[in-house]
Amino acid sequence: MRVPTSERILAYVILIVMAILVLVPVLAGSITAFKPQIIWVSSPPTWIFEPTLENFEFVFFTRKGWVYLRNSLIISGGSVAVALILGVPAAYAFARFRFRSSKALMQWLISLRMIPPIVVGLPFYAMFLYLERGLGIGLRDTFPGLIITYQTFLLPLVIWMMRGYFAELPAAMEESAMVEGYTRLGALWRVVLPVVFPGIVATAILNFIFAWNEFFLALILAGNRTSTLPMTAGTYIVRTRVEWGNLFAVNLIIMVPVIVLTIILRRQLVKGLTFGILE
Amino acid sequence: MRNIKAVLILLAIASLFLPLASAQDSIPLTDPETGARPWEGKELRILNTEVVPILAYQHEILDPLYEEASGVTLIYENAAHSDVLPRIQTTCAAGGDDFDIMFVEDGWAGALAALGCLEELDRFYLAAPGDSHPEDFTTRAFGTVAMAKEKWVGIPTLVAVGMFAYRTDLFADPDEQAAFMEQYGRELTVPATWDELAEVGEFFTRPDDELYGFNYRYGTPNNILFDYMIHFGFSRGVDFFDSEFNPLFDTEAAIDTAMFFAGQDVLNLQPPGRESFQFGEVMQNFAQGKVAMYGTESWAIPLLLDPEASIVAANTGFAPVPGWLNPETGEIQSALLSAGPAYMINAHISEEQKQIAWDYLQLAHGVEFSRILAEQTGAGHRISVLTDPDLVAKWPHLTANYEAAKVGIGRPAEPWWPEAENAIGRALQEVAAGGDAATLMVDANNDIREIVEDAGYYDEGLTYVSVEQREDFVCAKFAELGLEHDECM
Amino acid sequence: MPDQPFSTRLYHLTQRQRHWFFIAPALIILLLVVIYPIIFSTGVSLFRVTFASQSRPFVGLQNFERMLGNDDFIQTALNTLYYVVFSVSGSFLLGFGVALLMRRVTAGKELLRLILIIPITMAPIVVGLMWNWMLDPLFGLVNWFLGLFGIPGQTMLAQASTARMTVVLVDIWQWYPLVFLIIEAGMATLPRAPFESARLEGVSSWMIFRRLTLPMLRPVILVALLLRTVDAFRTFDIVRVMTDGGPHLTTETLSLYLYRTAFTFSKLSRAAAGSILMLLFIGLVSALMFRYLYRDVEVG
Repeated sequence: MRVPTSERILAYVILIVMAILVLVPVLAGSITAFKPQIIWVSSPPTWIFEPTLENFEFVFFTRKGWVYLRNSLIISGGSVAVALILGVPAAYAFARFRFRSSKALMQWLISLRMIPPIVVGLPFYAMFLYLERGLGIGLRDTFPGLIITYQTFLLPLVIWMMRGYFAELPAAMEESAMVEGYTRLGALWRVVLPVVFPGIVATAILNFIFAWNEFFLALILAGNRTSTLPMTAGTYIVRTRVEWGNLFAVNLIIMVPVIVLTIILRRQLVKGLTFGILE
Repeated sequence: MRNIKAVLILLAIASLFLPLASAQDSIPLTDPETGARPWEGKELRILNTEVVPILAYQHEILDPLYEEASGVTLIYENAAHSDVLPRIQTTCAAGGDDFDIMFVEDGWAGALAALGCLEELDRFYLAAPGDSHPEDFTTRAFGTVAMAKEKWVGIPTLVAVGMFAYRTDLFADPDEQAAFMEQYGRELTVPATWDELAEVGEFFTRPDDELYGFNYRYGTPNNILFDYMIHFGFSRGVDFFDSEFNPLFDTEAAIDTAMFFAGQDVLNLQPPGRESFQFGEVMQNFAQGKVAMYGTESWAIPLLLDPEASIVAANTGFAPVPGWLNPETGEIQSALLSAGPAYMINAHISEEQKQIAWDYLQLAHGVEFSRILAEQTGAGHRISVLTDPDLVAKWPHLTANYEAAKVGIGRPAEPWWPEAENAIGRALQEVAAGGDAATLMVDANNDIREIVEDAGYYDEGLTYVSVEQREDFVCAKFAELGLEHDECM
Repeated sequence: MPDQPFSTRLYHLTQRQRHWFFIAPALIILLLVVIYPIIFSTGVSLFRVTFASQSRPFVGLQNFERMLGNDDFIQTALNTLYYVVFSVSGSFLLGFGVALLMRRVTAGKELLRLILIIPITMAPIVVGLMWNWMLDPLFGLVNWFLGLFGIPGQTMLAQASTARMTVVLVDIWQWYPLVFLIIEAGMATLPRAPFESARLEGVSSWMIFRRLTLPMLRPVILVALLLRTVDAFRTFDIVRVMTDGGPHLTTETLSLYLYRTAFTFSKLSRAAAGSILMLLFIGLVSALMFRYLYRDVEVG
């Protein structure tokens, strides 16, 4: 498409302004994490200063940030692993087998995205309560409990994304493998999965981001043993003052891994964010 | 003198229990003098919120001393203030043992006691009182902060009473005094009544110089209710409930107070953003010299007097909270709220953890440690500290704090109080946003009535636990524990 | 068929139904983690349950009645609707605009796109805290910037009149890149031929946009609107950290209100009733959109 130069310049100007609107808060906020306490708050803002890591040190060691980081990693990693184990075979079936309820089930899976976390979180809490009191099975404030709960938003997404990747592959692939003597499961494991592996990685990363950023369910169902990073960000708003330096240090710890993953994943991002409805 | 008396009585009581205690294989306690450290290497998990300054100073100054004396490691889990009550409730209802000690505000004790997760402290005290001295608090403070109705469940971590801080340099400045005299025809003095507060506030409000008259908290329902009651409501005769548990926020006094405190005239004398200010912002404004006066509570003292935290620390003076001038009697009425959090022991933890928790409470929040804190920060909440001649000489405001702690009225602590507090706080915020005070207060009052009714308080024979009743509970508890208290005589 | 041996029939049956072996584990977990909680919630909503209650009397639909008769519930429902309407339309228009502009640039496209999508990858709680800092009345960057032009300090989050819109703007800041990505992906799939012939016939770009681009993008637009709508309905994190629902009730969303009702005020069954009502509310709105969506889009 040929675009007049004036139009192109205007487009650049507007887009660059938009990019600045994104970058300024993110960067200006983030550098506060490297400011010494005395200039956390200053008007006009201090731009030139000697960067320090003491905020990170405080957040990471004094406030046990490493524990929350570990919890976040276990919960996000664990729930993505479970979602993949359960979701990949299902996605394969939806992509390969024709059956009557398949379309209705896939639509139902999308509709699960509408369910607000409070609708799930409240009964989950109550259920965990009854299990703990009645059967002595403790799930509240445990990693398995949170990992199960996170399936509400991870599993449908895994199935939708993976179904798309499987559908892209020719069916002849497993068929020839099965002619060679593989069972269907064998063909899936030995032949198909290695091919869709990049898709699995993309799915895993995107789901990891969702689990990593999750706040609401953790707020209700996590406790002392399982607190996640996003839960702790709010603790730096204290009645005496907001500890901006420490707060942005935590924010950076939450943000940076996700931004790195996004850069790796940028091409797959749309598919995941839109549940693959676009195909 | 009182100290000596109390110690003698305690010694006498302790000696009575000595044979009993040793027969029970007495509970070992951390003892800084003998160096006994029975819990060495153990951990104590505290669900905490780093809210008011005094807590931060306590942790900074006292925790290392406790850890050194006991060999116990303290592990804090800090939650955002608005997350604490939900966290405790969800954990308690599940019988969770994931923390040993929890931060409980006075208004929450009823809700948590109803959940059965507050451990009663009597048996620990009787077995080994340590340095806990529950009789070292005023009955008002102890009844509000440490008890859930007739049960003793906590050791106060702080007792908050209303205070008024002001900039001594501004009030003493001859130029300011002359200008004030010219403008208002009277001497510039620290305000003693609401009207004077508004007048002096107006005088100092100079947005171009980034200086404002004063500031209060309007930012959250909880905060706004506090300042409404502490600094204005009580002095005007506003109360929470009558003896039948009817809410009293629709009275003429309550509405008048709301119109003054949340009215535009008073709001205009405060820095921009005032409608959203909470604990931190108002304190920061004063500490950065942006306001001339600051209605606060005693937990702010350590920060206000700390030159590293406040640029006006050397110019900070304290005065009584400005009161309401009763037009009929001509006297200035003022009254205060005393409140605060206590550390309470989770009832669902193991017996050993409970013993460690008690050991922590009796020592780290005991008489000796409180004195250390007061010496260094100027803030105290135990009678022995507030009346100590040496400390009073160093920190004159302690005497006013003591008087306030004796007469302070506490929030109700019924299980539904958090919800009622939210209802009235929201209404006040709406008044501050320009709403009609009369309608809003009457509506909120009806909402609270419904909340109380929902909880079955009108038909199941439950009655309001008044401030006086709470004192009776405290005195009965002290008698049960074999303690004497001046205020119970 | 009937004369086939049983084992053969069983084999055919399992062959016909083999997809269930793959789907069943995921389905069972989903029924357990999504459907069961909803049923459970519905059950709880018919009783009176608090954290501390010893007895749990059956109260029928009383919790629903009380919720619907509650001013705060209605107010927060209206607030939520406000978020949905303004956040969705705002992020949609902005995202669409950026997608159109993006077609006009060549160099640096990848980098621009990468920068623009940063907000969606951030945790909403981080976004909220960051903007709190930007908007601080005393030292925030926004007021400092306005101050350079002599505009006095604004206190957007403190005023009842502006707080809600401010939160919506932050929400738009975070989510318009999602619309942009979806629309851009949709545009990439459009066939070229109709556009080229239209251009040859001298049709103005505005008419091309109205008569060709918009109709052809309709399914994609609906996907974007649908996703944004269901997300806006459950706004919680950002409000929680930016205003916590204040001043008074002006920014409180349904999710936040129900969270408070349940976990701070201990009214578990009433919150359950509220959450069922909320689900019906969302279901209704989305069902209408789904019907439009499925009219032209082949899904699954």
